[in-house]
Amino acid sequence: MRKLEKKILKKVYSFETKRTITEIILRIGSILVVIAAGTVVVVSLLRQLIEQQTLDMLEIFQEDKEIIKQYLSDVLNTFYQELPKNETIWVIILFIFFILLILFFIKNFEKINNRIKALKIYWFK
Amino acid sequence: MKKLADKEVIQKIKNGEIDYFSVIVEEYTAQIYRYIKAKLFQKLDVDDLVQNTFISFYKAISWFDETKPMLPYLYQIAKNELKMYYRSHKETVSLDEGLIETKIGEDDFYTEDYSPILEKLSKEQQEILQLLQKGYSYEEIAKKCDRPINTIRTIIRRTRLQVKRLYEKT
Repeated sequence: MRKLEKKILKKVYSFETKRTITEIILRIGSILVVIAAGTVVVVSLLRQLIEQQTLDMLEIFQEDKEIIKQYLSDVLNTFYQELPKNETIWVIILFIFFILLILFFIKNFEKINNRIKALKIYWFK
Repeated sequence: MKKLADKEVIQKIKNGEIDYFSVIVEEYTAQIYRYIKAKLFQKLDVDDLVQNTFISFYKAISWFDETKPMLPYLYQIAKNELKMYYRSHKETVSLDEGLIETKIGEDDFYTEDYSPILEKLSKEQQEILQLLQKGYSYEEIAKKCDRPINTIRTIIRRTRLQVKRLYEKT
C-alpha cells in the first residue's frame, strides 16, 4: 500500500509541476505581451503627437497661474480633439488589461508560491 | 504534519499547499483500493485505477465543496473509473473475423443453417445486417435508415454479440 501511495503522489506532483510551469509561463508571457503591445502603441501615439506638435500645447503649464486658468479649458479641448482616437483607445484597453493581469497575479501569488515551495520540497528533498 | 479535518486539508490544498494531498492519499487509499479490488481481480489494473481515481480527484479539487464529505466523492470517481475500464475492455466481435462474413457468403445470407438465428433478430437488425453484407458503410446505412451513425454502430455491435450468443447455443 505504501508503494501505491508513493506512486499516486509521484503522479500528482508530476501533473502539478507541469501545470504550475505552464501557468507561470502563461502569466508572465501574457504580461510581457501586453507590455510589448502597449509600448508599440504608446510610441506610435507619441510620434503622432510630436509630429502634430500637440505636445507643445502642454507648455502652458510653465506659464503663470492666471494664464493657465484662462486658457486651460481651451488647451485641453484642443488637445483632446488632436489626440489620435484609435491609438488612445488601444492604450486605455491595454492599460486596463495590464492592471487586471497584475491584480490576478498578486491575488494568486500566495497560491503559486505555496505550490512552488511544495514542489521544491518534493523534488529536491 | 498534525492531524487535520478533511475540510481544512482541502482548503490548504486549494491554497496551493499541495503537500497536504498526501494526507488524503494516506487516509483513503486503502478504502478505495478495497472498493476497486472487490470489482476487479487483476492487481495491476487495480493499482492503475486507484491511481487514476486520486489523480482525477486532485484535478477536480478546486471545484470540490469542502463542506461535503470526501469519501463518497472518491467512491463516485472510482465508480466512473471502473465504468471507463469496463467500457475499454468490452467484448467485441469483428465482422471480418466473425460469423457472418466467414460463414455466410453474400448470396447465401439466408441459408437454411443460419436462418433460425437470423429470424430471431428484429426487422431493423436484419435490414442493417443485409446492408452491411452488401458492403454499405456505417455512414451510408445511417443515411438509409435515417438514424444517427452512433445508433447504427450500437445496433451492429449488439447484433453481432446476439448472433454470436445464438450461434453458440445452437
